[in-house]
Amino acid sequence: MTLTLRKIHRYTWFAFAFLLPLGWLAAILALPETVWQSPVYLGQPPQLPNLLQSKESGDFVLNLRQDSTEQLKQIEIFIKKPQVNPSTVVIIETIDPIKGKKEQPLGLLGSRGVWRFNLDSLTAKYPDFKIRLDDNIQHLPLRSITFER
Amino acid sequence: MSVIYDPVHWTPHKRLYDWLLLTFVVLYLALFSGLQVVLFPQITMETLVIRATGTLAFLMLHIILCIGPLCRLDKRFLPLLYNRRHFGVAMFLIGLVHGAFSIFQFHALGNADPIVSLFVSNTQFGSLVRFPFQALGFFALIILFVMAATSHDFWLKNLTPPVWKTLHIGVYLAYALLLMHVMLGVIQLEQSPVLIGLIGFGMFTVISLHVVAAYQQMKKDRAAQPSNVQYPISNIQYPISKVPAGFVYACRVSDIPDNRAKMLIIQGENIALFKYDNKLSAVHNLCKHQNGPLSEGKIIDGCITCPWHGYQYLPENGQSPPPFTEKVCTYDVFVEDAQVYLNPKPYPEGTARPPALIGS
Repeated sequence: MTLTLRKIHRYTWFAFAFLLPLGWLAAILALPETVWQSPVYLGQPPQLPNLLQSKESGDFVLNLRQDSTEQLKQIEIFIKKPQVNPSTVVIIETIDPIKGKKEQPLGLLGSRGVWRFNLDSLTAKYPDFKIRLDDNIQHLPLRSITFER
Repeated sequence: MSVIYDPVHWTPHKRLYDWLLLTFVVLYLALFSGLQVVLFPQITMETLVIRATGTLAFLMLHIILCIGPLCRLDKRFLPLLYNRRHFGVAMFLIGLVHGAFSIFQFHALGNADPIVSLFVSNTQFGSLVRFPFQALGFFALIILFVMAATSHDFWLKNLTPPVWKTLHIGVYLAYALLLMHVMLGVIQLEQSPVLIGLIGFGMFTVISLHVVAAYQQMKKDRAAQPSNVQYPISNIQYPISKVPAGFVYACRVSDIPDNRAKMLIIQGENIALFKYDNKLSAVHNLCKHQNGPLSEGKIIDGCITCPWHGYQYLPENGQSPPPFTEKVCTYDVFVEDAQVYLNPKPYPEGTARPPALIGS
């Protein structure tokens, strides 16, 4: 090796001897306190038999379904085209006559497929509501779909 | 060493090297995959491939980076250096499999271009703990691709050894990028103290070896400078006029072992001074192949033999024995009363110069 190259080698490693452990230590110090885990997708609820309403918005088809006893309601979302954003959160917005606007996350969507979310009994009583799909990483609203009686 | 074009000039040593390399790769993949399946029964095939190839490529890069300094510290490691390029290309290919599967697993299922997705799905460059570490691996893979693509002797010859060597110093940048790629990946996804410890151990091993080897080389380089050569007191007893003009004191004859050399740096010239058959000859210290240090080689079958890849030169004229065509510069040597003097003015490559006879 030429003397110049030997010098470059030497200076590089003398610099690395300082910089690389610094990066290693910085990464350790930056360890988050809580463990980040991959989201756990619970088993999806079975499809409810009665279709009440169906809405289409962009790459999504949203169905409002109900069981035969009319007690249980369900939001069913079809993703027609695989999504770019890896984490889409589904939020239901209701208007309470006393408390006003209320937001409640229903769950997360994957990048493709069919997703179902059962509404709790209280939320299911609201005749009108809005379903919002937000990009949970960029914090951007993607879609907003209104369901009215 | 070959006079005709040969994609890979296979030798028994290269074949053995590559078989051992292949065995190591297969054994590692089998062992790692077996352990993963036992420890994580739910693991998918894609994740298994990503983990197995990623850890293997990173381990191989550490071994590759250790070979150079180990050879400088102890010549017994030289056989590892002989075919290091095959090791490097194998490491790149395994890293490429890791990169391809990672892009497929994490970025190919959306409606954005996977490569675009790699750079836009996470843009938190300001946060170390959420830094898009995958991009670091991508850039490292690009560097390793350039190096693997130019690793053949065709590029070495056309780019010239100094340019080729400079280009291949890029492996250090790739290592720094990969170290942070792996470290940030571990703290974001795994947080295993064992993995963090192993990464630290590997990093400190590589750094220590390189720093120690660089320090020793620095001492050797300084000792080879004329201002640092210890002129013997006996030199004063001889009239300096006996030494021809232009010659400078190099060393004592006894400083050079038989069939070995001493490196000297005189007036900017890097010279290898060889002692053999009661004679002394000096040639340029850098091998024509990869600029290997000829002074660290020895005389085999009457030829100076480069310690890196075995390129050979005749000491009297700096020419490779026929049919090979490599040539290095030669220098005049003068011996008087067991003291060696050198003229640092180089002769054109392959110029025959009479060796200095010891005891004449």
